[in-house]
Amino acid sequence: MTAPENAAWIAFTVLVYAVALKLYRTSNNTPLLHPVLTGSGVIIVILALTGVNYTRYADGVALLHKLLELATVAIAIPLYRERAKLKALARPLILSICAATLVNLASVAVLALTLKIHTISFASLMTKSVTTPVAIGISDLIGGNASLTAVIVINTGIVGAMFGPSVLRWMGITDPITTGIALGTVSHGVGTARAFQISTQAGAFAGLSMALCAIFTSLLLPTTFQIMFM
Amino acid sequence: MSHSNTLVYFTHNSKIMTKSNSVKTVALGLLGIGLLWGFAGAGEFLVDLMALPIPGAIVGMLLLLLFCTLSGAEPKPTRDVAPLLLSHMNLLFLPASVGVITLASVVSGQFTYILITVLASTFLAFAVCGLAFTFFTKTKDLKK
Repeated sequence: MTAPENAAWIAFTVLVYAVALKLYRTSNNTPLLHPVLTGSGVIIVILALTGVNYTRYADGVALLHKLLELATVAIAIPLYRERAKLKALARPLILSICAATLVNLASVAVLALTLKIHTISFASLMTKSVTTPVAIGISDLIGGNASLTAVIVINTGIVGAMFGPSVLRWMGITDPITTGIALGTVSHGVGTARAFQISTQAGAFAGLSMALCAIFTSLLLPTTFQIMFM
Repeated sequence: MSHSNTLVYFTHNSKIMTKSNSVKTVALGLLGIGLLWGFAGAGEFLVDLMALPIPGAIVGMLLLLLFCTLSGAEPKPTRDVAPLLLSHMNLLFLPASVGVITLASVVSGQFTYILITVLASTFLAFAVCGLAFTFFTKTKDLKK
């Protein structure tokens, strides 16, 4: 893998993203045109047509993956800017994140057992609302598959970013902070990206909720899952 | 391949940077990237050292927040570059998202069930989160 090839893959991905973003914005943020969905769709088609395998592509764009870590660290900045509001809302914030996470895990378990989903997929599904790197770590502990976990997590993010705010609107909830918290808790980074499009404040709360959900789930899930299902 | 190339790509998509497209802004942005990288590394180090079950980047985020709180201000280099990275996070999810093409065999015919589970539990969790937060903020207001 050469440096010019890596640069070309990154340039290609950025270009696809720029077009996908343009399309999304022109369509007035239509959920079905979410840039992660359309962007990865286009990249998949192009990889399939050119016969390039995923590993080669993933190696080429490893730097973008690294930047995702930096973006996660960068969430501290809007969090700091919102510190007064955050402090005032700490208690309801923590309580609602715990409630949502418990219901989320319980509903996945009930559905997976009812639908007789294979153990590997079941374990991978349990980590669906946790940010990708943590999800893979937890999934490893409870017998999931790393790439399946990554894909389930990303798609939970996309589904939540696409439809989550609408679900809340149907229930009469339009407050940006509440929407941000739900986006971060249920749809981690992709939800947080969506929340930043609502407002910086919504994004800051989403970022914190993502972190708290990841911490809460990594403390709760491995032990509980092992006691109940293994 | 240095990360400066990527920053230039980013700036093409950004209205923030084009306004003051000076060498100084780019230099400050690069310094900001370096700073974020440093905190990510510090987070990684702590996670390894203490065998924490959470990723280094999350710990790095908490460390940077702690740093801001202790110093009473946010670091200048990240002022523009942090919002820039955050407004284009979706780009950074593309590599992982494309990974779906490797999974045909693992899922083996249960794709629909997995999709149903993801959809139903995600909608339910959104509803519970929204209701819970609204409820808990209201009860708090009543106490006041």
